Amino acid sequence: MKGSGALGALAINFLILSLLAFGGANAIIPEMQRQAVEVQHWMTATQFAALFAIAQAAPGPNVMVVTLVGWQIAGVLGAVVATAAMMGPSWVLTFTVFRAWDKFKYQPWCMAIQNGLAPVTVGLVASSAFLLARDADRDAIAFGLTAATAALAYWTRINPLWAFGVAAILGVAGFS
Amino acid sequence: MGARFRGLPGSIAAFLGILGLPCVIIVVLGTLYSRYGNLPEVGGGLLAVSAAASGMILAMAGKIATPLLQRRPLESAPVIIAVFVAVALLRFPLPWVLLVAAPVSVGIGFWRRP
Repeated sequence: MKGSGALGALAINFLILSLLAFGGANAIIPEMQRQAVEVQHWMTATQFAALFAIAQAAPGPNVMVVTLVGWQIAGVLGAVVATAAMMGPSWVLTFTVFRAWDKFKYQPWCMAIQNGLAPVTVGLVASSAFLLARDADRDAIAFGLTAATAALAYWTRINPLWAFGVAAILGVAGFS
Repeated sequence: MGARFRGLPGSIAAFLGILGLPCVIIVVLGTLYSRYGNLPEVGGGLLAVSAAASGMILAMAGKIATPLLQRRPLESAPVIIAVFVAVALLRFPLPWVLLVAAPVSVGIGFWRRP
């Protein structure tokens, strides 16, 4: 699945995703996974989970998973095309809309939009967690890692990178 | 943020500053993955990190959901559940889900405004 056809599909896919990403990068993981694994067959669910893990553990914004997906499919050019398609529209939108948004932020209709989108974002982010856990949690230890990290991140201020480190060691040692 | 302080050039600088080095790091890691990803140790390690990362995202969903469910449970819970079922269980395409869920959710919030 390499060549200009893949590049075009990459660009279109991530342009659309970019416009849907008002809930942040983690809100569009389900659609990214659906497109890359189920629709375009660019990679397996396990590969997607691995790329996601790399992007989460590496420094930088979570949206870097886009760069990795593009790179995996069409090399350096794929990485550039996917990243630009993903970042471009939201960057232009941020630059042009944020002034207006700042001005209207406390207007009732603007607050209504923000309040209305919040539960949608929660549903999307929860879907991301569910789909990734479904592909990653092959046994009780992996399931325990998911639950423990969730509890740690929800109730404490401990950096989740520590949980990633413990998980990596357990995984390399073959426990999960 | 960059746009707030220095206009367009500031916004471009902030963009490249945030993404430049991480882009290089991520591509190096991606190269390592495509070369060594087939080793059982590497695959196992990444799958375990992925398991932990999905837990972190679950916590993130929980943190956004907690104040919503405390303040306006009747308005937010049905939307959260409906979006989850459509996206996670039924795997509907995101554009269609948003096209329906966003206006409905904003509408519910407006109709039952405090």
